[in-house]
Amino acid sequence: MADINPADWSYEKAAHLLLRAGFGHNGRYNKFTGEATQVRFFANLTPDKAVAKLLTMATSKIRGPGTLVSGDDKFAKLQLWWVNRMITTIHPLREKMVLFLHTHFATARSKVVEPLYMSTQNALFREFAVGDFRELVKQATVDAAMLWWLDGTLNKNGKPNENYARELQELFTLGVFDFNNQHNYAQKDVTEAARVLTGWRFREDKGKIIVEIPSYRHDTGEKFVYQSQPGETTQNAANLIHVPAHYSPIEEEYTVLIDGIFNHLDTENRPTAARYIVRKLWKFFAYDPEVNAGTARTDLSLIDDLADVFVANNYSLAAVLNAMFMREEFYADTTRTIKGPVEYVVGSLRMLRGKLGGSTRENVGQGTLANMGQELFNPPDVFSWRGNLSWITTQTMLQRYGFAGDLAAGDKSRNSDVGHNVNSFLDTKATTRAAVVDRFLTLLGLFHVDDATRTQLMLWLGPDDSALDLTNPDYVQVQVRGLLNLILTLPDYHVH
Amino acid sequence: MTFTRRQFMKAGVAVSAASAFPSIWWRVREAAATLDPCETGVNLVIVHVEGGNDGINMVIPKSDGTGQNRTAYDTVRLPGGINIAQSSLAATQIGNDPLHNGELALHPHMVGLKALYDSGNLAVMCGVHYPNPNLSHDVSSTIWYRADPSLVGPGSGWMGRTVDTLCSASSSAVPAVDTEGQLNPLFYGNTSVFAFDSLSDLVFPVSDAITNAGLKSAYRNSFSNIYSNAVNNAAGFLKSIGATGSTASDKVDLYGSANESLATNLNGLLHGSGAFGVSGVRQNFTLARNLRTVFALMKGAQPGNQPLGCRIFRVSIGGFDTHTDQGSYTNTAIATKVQNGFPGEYHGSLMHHIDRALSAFWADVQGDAVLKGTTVLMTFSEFGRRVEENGDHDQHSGTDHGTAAPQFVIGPKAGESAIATHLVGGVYGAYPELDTPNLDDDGNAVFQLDFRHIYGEIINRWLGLSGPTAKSILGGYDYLTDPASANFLA
Repeated sequence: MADINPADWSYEKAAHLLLRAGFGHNGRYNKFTGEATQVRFFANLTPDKAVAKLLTMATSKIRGPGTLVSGDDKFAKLQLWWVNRMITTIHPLREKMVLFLHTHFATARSKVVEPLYMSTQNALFREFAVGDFRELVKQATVDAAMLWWLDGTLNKNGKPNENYARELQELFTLGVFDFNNQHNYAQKDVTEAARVLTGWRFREDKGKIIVEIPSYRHDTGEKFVYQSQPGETTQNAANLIHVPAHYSPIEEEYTVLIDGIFNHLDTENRPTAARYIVRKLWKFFAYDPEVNAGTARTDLSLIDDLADVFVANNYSLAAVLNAMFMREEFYADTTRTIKGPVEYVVGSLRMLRGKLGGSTRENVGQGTLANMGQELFNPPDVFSWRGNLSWITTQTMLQRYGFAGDLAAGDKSRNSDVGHNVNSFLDTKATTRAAVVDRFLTLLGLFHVDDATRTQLMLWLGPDDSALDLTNPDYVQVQVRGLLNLILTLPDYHVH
Repeated sequence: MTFTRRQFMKAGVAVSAASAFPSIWWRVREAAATLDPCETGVNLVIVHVEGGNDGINMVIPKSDGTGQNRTAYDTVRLPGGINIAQSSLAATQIGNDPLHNGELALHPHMVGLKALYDSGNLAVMCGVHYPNPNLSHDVSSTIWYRADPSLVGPGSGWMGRTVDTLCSASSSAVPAVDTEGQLNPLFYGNTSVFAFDSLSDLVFPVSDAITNAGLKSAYRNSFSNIYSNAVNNAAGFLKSIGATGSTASDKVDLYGSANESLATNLNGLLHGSGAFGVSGVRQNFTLARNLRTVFALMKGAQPGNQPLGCRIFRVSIGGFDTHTDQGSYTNTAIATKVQNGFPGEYHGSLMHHIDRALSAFWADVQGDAVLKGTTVLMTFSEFGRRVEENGDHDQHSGTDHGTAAPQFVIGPKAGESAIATHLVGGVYGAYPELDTPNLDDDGNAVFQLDFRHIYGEIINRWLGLSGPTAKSILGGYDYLTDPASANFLA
């Protein structure tokens, strides 16, 4: 086990933890020390206590988005509600996990056109954000939005529809191939799983969604999932899921399938689902082992360490997240991911205690974030947002630069839609350009910007230190806000 | 899902590196003159007719032939409602329906397109749609955007996948432009597409706090230096971001400087003389203005002008969801709702708008030595409309959501095209049968030609990707043989 050495714990590592396990610190700032107070608080804890603190969340009832209307602003209100939660919550890890789960169980309003359904699914993710993942998969299987999205309601006795049965295995639990490049399941397993899942449907009654499984719609025959299929799969004998005919109660038959999926062992006799899910979690919170690690196998042994924790703790997300955030590798600087639009926008607003208002606020879901390529509740398809360099195109970069410009230039008055109070962070007594630049870099979590870049940032402030004029409001308005604009557009700032 | 990623941007970005001398606040920005290979080639203009066009009143049955279409038409669309009298169709008659040989005519206001038909530059594709039609705007639009009637494939757009294939070697090329500020899903993919409402919107964003021109320039300087440093000295993601950001900056400047000259040209010609000038076609018809911008952008891509690199475009015209007050041709009782339209005719005025805009655009194109051989325009709409008019067969009648409608393709005919393939004008597909026994359960016409056929021919025969590649972009759909008789490019 390669956990981080408490002696190596630092302000920088605490900042990294808050950034990756959430959306960054909350922007409260100590002008004397030049530190974000929340980062300093976490830095003063030992790493295990810091991680434990992140995972301790109030369980009080969370206020929902209110009445959602159909119509032109269908989803704008729901999107804004969630973005607002991400910006203001005191438990950002929970919202970050909801984002992960939404990305994972990618369900889109392009087909699920009623906000109530997408909001209900979102609440399910929030309930299980750090909970029992196996139980979450069960509940997601009979979630109305998911039944709508992947045609669960069309899957009935005698007229099977395989859509969910396939994606459940391919995308949500096992993956097509194991780490040995062998198939985890065969076409037969998809059809048998589909039979297990027949009969579910939903309806509305007085504005509430009712999910049900009338018995006549359900295939009550005997099913065998994960028998070896010559030419396709070699299954461990223990993988077999046998559902006897007339299994009762019908409403619980799908749980037999899900339990069986989580018991599946791959061709290396390792727990398939645990490996698959942990790899996705690591990719989301740390880096993609295939993209960043020179030797994928080394990092895959890390995945297996974490998968063991996941299994040993009955698929508790809290347990595996704890183990992840304690790993040395989580804090390694050279291996990173590209911030998605939500992380970029929400993180910037949090760390600058920025304002999001006016029409930008109303339209944040379908304007700002959609233009950057990530409209919440509307991933492009069930394969979801591809992440990393797919976020970066000429057009999306211009959108990010536009947001950066608005946030840098605007203040928090009524006149601005987007803005921040630069004076909250500025030490007007600083005498060097380096001090000013370094403070803003640290504030925004940039600890390893190279010298050439630092030089450019300093030169922007002036040709030499005598050009600094921090008590002059015009200089602050133009040069200092301009410095922030530059920092928010740095290549380094799009990576975390 | 593995995800291949393109290599870094090629050389050709004229950005001076390491300009660390701050006394130079001003800097002449040199635009990148080198284009990516995928940014050169023929042009394609996609006209998106939004809302579901009533194709039955755009390409109108004039006689029954061996079928029943004119009779059926007159039975369910009445003179007080949206019926267009047979007697008004002589001047815009085109070819016959390939299925039943009944005569067909364009809407009486489409005199310009009729002239294009006569000159062999217009292909009229009849009965275009897909199996198991969906009557929701959003869902059916998504099907047309993704070329995926089953909606189980990837969420990329058909043109997104096409430009990804064309531009596979470049991370930063911008081969396409959407003339609306929000990028349309048909372009969704990995290749950059500029989307703007107006060309003047396309500026490199710099904080509003920096108002002084010298400081703006200094800001751009700093940005460029930082990004060049990432390209030259960083690795991995930082280097890739450096490359894309640099191109974004340079491209935007290129379009911006083009805009200055284009604006002069655009303004001059918006009020110009001639058939499409003083009469105010471009002033009065938004589609015509947008197509004029497209024309200017295409000209900008030619040698001698600032090469911009964009050659695939989308423009749109809305207002086609004519559930009520669709209007007819002779019912002048109600005032027009369409600017510069005809009293009593809502849909008819839209037909006029499309006709004037497309004709003006084609006249522009024909007047340009290069563009006349390299430009194809195609229309699409998410569905057609119900065969029978709704309501009380009066001036308030309209049509509900339907299915198959005709689509247009305009292009250079034999002898005009700059490449090996050219358009063969005529009527293709089959006009759906409109009599009640031959409608579907919703009272809608049954489609005769899968829209992927049109997409496939455009991708393969016009844009030059191979047959198998085109088929793969269309999710395996075999457009070439479905059916071969509908091939409009030769």
